Amino acid sequence: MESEKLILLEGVTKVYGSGPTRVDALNNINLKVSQGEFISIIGPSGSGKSTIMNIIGCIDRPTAGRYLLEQIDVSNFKDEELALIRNKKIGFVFQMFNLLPRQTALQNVQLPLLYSGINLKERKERGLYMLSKVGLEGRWHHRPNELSGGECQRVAVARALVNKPSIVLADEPTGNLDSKNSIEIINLFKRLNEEEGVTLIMITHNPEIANEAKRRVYIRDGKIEEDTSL
Amino acid sequence: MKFIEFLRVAFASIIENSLRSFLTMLGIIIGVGSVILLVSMTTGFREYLVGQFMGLGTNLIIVNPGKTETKGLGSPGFEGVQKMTKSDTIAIKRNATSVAAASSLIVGTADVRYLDRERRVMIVGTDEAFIKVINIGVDSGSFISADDVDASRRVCMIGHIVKNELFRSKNPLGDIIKIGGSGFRVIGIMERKGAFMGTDNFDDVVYIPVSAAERIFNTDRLLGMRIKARSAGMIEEAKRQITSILKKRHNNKEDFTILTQESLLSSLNAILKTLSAVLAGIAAISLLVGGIGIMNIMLVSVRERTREIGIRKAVGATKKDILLQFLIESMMLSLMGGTIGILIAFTGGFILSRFIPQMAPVMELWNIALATLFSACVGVFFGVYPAYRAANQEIIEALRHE
Repeated sequence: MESEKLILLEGVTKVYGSGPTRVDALNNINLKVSQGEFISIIGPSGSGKSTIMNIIGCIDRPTAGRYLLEQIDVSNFKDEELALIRNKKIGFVFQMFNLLPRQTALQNVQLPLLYSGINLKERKERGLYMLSKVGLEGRWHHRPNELSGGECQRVAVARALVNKPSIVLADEPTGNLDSKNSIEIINLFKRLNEEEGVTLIMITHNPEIANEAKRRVYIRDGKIEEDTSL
Repeated sequence: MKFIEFLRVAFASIIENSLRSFLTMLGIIIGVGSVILLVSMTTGFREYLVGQFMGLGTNLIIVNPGKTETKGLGSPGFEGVQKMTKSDTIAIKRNATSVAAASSLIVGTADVRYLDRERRVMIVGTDEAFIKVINIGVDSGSFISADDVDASRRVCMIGHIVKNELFRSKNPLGDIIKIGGSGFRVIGIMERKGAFMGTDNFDDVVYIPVSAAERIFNTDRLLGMRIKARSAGMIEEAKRQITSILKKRHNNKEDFTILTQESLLSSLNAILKTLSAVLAGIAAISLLVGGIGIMNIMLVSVRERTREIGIRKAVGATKKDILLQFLIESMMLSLMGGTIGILIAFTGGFILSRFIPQMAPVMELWNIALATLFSACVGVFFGVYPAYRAANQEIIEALRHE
């Protein structure tokens, strides 16, 4: 477990705005994540859990502090470099699924591969393989509006995994799902974590869901208040 | 391969909003269509004029009295100019070795009468060389001869319209017609020449010997001479010889103007090219308007697809990828508009060529290529700003966008 440090946040601070509108979203966060972990980040709304995910996901930069991803400091990477990291190293699963509505499940899953410059044949193969991993092999030609919420989220998980990322970041992945589908998604995460060794960081405000992970990080007012192995 | 995917996405987006896309393209359709059609119409008109001028005769040199300083169709001024007479023509015939034929021309109008029918027509006084110089043939009978000119005989050749109006179906050969009160015997009918520059004036003419015309119009001033050089290569030499002969006869004054078909055509061409450019320029304004329409719709499209942009960027699309995707879409819009515009121009050209076959619009490849290129450029130019906006969306904001 304690192999290489996959993620290292050192004194990460994020400030939005200035003067009277200044918001300290993150305040001196230190966090280490190793290969193969399944972490839940929990906290009330406005605690900074989304900000921490945005920074880990390279769609936002810290105001101060360092972020090392696979021992590389990406805190000051340029937009184009961050795009490459998001493409190769990070998979996102969102609360709102965030699938392209006009594209089929397969096309949605293939999307990250398109930006890796992988050819159509391989994109299709890998896309279909990932869909079978999440149990949707028969539904590849359906568009998001023809799929249930649970199915949409599984398509999103397949998309997150298709480029073999170092980490999968899930932001309230069960927030829009009923309890049955929520359990299915969590079980899928657990299986991927245990069988495939996928590193997962999941943000949630639901303590029950949070306790399904192996490690729970509690954030409040931009600070880590509690970091427990479960 | 990204490129192909972007093409697919752009095409799908255009098809999905087909009415909106069509309305957006309309400006480009009208712009490209009108640029091509107007330019091809002026090209057709130019070719018509060239054909008409060339149809006058080959290696034609026109000599008019009076000096016009500029090249072109300027009217000769008469003040202080020594008149040009048929003896000038004879001198050129004798001495200019590069000249194949030279004919004198006196032109006026007169009432022509046969029995109770009367018609006011153009009377051309000329000589036997006329039909060698001007590309016109004789239908029946024979043209005015050198003898007719020398003897100042009252004989005439009549054009088709004159024949039909005065004689109807009767054979006029040998009959006498009255020209300004004097009787002239009809010795032949000219071949039908057809319209020239939109008028019938080659067929509505009576030709008489130049010496007879001097008497009728009471002048020995020529309107000018029509001269044929021995070959195209000898036109310049012929001009030099004519100049030196006439100067010698006119007290060393260059009081005449020599025009060739080439010089006439080049000034006509210059005028028509300007006309063509002006028309194309006006039509190009609608392309500009069309481009603004594309920009407007692309801005709407970028806004509508904010979330899509956020998703694409989250999974690794670079700014360049997004920029390219939207640029391709705007370019595709304008190119599709351009293509429809070309088709419409072709249809319009085809219909016009049915109605005015002699001035049928001429589609030229460069013109079509230029219009297509221009429409693509419009797409790129007006697509850059929306695409730039798309590429610079903040991911977090974009993903939150409803």
